[in-house]
Amino acid sequence: MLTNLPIIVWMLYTFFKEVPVPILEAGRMDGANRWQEISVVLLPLALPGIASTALLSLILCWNEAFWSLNLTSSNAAPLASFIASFSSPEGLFFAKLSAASTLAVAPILVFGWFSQKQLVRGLTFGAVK
Amino acid sequence: MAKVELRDIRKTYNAEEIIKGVSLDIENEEFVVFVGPSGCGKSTLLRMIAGLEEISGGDLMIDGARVNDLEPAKRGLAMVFQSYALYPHMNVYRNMEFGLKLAGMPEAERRQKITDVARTLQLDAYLKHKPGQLSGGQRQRVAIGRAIVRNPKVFLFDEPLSNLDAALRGQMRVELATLHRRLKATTIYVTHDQVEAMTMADKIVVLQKGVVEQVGSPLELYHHPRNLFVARFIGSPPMNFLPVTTRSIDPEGVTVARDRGESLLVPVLPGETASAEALTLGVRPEHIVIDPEGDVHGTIRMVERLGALTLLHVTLADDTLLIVQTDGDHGGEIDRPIRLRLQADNCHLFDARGIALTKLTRHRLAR
Repeated sequence: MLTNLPIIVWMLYTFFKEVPVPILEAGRMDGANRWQEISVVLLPLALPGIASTALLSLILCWNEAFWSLNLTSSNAAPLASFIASFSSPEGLFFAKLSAASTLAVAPILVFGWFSQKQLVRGLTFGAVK
Repeated sequence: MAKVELRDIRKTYNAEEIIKGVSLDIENEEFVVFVGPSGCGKSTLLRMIAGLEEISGGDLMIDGARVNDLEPAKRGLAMVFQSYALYPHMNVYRNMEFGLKLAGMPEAERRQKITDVARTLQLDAYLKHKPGQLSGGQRQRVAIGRAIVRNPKVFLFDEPLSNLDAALRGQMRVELATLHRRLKATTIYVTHDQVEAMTMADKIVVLQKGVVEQVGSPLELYHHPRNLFVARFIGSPPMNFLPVTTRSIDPEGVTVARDRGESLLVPVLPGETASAEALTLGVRPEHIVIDPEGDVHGTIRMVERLGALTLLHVTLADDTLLIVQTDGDHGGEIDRPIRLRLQADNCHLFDARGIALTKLTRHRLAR
């Protein structure tokens, strides 16, 4: 779960950022306090984002667990345990560790880049413009 | 309803002053329009009144009480946003109900109020629809309805018509003006469209770079602009400007002439200019007459036919461009020579700083 946190934060950040500010301001003009602004206006608007992030997180966790449990050997270890192998009793191999980490992060970066805008549209359509 | 007073209101962002000390009285039941080019600070000023932006300096008074630090909802205002800002997950009824519910109004009363307002705005058939299922005009009506049901002391409108197409904009303009007459609510309306400002306002506030350039009735701004900026901004097509020099100063006015010699007696107060001073002459397109005896010679460069009117773009010998408004049947043709006469009574003179010289007589409709 923890290894998925960056992408969860990133996705949720994008979803919340896409909620049009004037709608929140309209809530404030209508007399909503901070809690009502979040619970009645912000959360329902970000719901598709929260749902899809939750789904993605679940899939990632599941895969992680599946791989870790079944294939933890030196030939077919998950990326995370491969990276962890650079930290050995002989010391830390920073160069290799960094290179492997970069490669490990790259697909997630690409995936995040393409998916961030896709799922936001539905519910906010019609609110502004 | 309420009176709104702004006392030396200032707004500073990152050490840069955006609103530079605005003082203004908005009377009870008055329809005031803030107008100006983009970036002039009109929306910021409105948001400061609404409570959505902090006020960096000065006092904002509503009905005599200082409200600078009061929450938006407690100021007794309602705002209609440019983007409508409807709650997309609630239907029209719930959108209008939200504010009333938060204010703790009993359900029966809420229902009564929303039904009344929906009928007024012809929304009764759409109460169960979500904003996404409505057209632009209907969404705008819901946004207005949401403001009306709360029975606010002051209505704030932030460019509410700029997302609508031209025909709908014209229609909504009339509806808003009618609604204001009926509700008699103090209204502050922000727009960059001077036609909206002219047609709806009791009082127009022209802003530029965070400074109030002039406050007055639409016709006062039109007939007695205080400076070049207001003269240029109010009126469509815009006022024409010609460089002139003072020839003689008499009690009946100031005689000015262009380089090529035609002179014109403009009825302004004689004490505000000196002889041989360089001035700017301003004349609106509708105050230039096509006259075979006229002493301004030019060539037609473009003809814009609007149906009821024709706009001629005329260049003079020194390449100055004049826009001339004439009737729709005028047979003007491109590249033909034309002679014009400026109606001296309707001309304006501006000094080197761009300040208008005071006219001898006030226009009868300019309050």
